[in-house]
Order: sequence, then structure tokens, then C-alpha cells
Amino acid sequence: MARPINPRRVFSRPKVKGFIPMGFYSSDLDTIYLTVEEYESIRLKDYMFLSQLESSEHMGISRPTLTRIYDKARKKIAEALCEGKQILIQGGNVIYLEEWYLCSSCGSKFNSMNNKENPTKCPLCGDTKVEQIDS
Amino acid sequence: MNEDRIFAIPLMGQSLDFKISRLFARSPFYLIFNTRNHNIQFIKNEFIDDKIQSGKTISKFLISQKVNIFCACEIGFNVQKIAEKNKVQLIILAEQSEFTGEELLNIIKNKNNN
Ligand SMILES: [Zn+2]
Repeated sequence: MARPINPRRVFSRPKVKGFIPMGFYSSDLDTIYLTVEEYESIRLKDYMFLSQLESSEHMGISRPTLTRIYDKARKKIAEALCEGKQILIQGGNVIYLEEWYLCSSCGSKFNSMNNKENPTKCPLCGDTKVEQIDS
Repeated sequence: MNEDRIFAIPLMGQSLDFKISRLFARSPFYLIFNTRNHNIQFIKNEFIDDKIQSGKTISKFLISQKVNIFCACEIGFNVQKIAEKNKVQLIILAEQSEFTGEELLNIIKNKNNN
């Protein structure tokens, strides 16, 4: 029987849900599904410029697992770019280390890191009218 | 919460009468405020002329001063990256915010009993 996989740590939700190709050869019917952990592996390695080891530590996984996820992510992105497919970022087995919230009282947005539970008040004005922002 | 909450707020000048600077990394001064003892300190941004690295350098410097909350109108990617690595909380003020240092401080003081 396959071992259950621990959730991978992802810093925060991707800013967007996906990407749509443009132009004559673009085909929004074909879709590449990028999982959130695949997105995170690209973000850590190619955007944050972290090493293989640092990236794997950030996600709480082994280096070989990170390499496997990262390779898969790159192949998917390459396929979408070259074949004009849309990318949807969804699914995966992750926990978010950071979430963003909006205070409807003062209008400020704030993040919350390593939080087991949602913040109950705004770190600026202290009001309790705070809601989580979904991407 | 045991840890002190120390805000860095970008300010146009070295007094509470000045307005908040819209750009975090390119702010001429920072108001540093500790919510536990209400200590106030002004820090001059010595890295403002560094066109490429200012975000990184000023963020690292503020963190070395024990700051753990960046509060600003706009925060660039470099500042965000450093904040993420160092577990610094980010607060992005509402778009039309034109507070002076004093006004923002009053908001924080009035409702944050910590
Ligand atoms: Zn608020």
C-alpha cells in the first residue's frame, strides 16, 4: 500500500489561478494543470534563487522529491509555452505558511505567517473585521 | 505573544509631522515603533541612492534593528523576499492612505493593547 504523503509547505497562495495563451495558435481548450507544490518549486528555485537544499527545506521535503516536483513543473510549463496551452494552478497536497487578510475597518492588508489559526484582529488598527483574501 | 512587536514605517522626514512615504525602500526615513514600551526611533535611510540593492539592504538593516513588521503603502519584490526569509510581517496600507507618522502611530497605539 502506498504511504500517505505529508503535505508540502508552501509559503503563500499563488497570486493568480492561471495563465491564458494569446494569439492565433493559442488554444484555451487545452489545459495544463500545475499543482501548487509544482508552482512553489519554481518560485523557490527560479524566482527566489534558492538552492536545491534550501528549496527542499522550505517545502519540508527531501532533495530528490524536490527535484522530481521541479522537473515535472518545468516540463509542464514548457509544454504550455510551446504548444499554446493554458495553465491552471490548482490541487496538490499543501499547507500554506502565509495567508493574506483584509481589514475592512482600516482597509489595510496584512499577512500572517506560521499561523495555526486565523488572526482575529488587524495588526494595525486592532479591529476584528478581518477576512482572508483568496487568490 | 512574548516577542516585541516592532514596526518600521517609511516616513518623509525625521519627525512625526511628516507624511508616510509611498515607497518603502526609497523612503528617506523610517519611524521605528515598539508596541510594548511605546519607544520611538527615527532611522535615516543611508541606502536610498543605491538604485539596485536599496530594497534588500534597507530591509536587512531594519531587521538587524529587531524590526518584525514592515508597514507601508507599497512594498517591492526585494523587500518582500527578505521579509519572507526573515518572517517579518507585512502590512499594506489602504490605497488612499495619506497619514502622518503621528496619525498612523495613534491608530496603532489606540487599538493595539498588545
Ligand atoms: Zn485594520
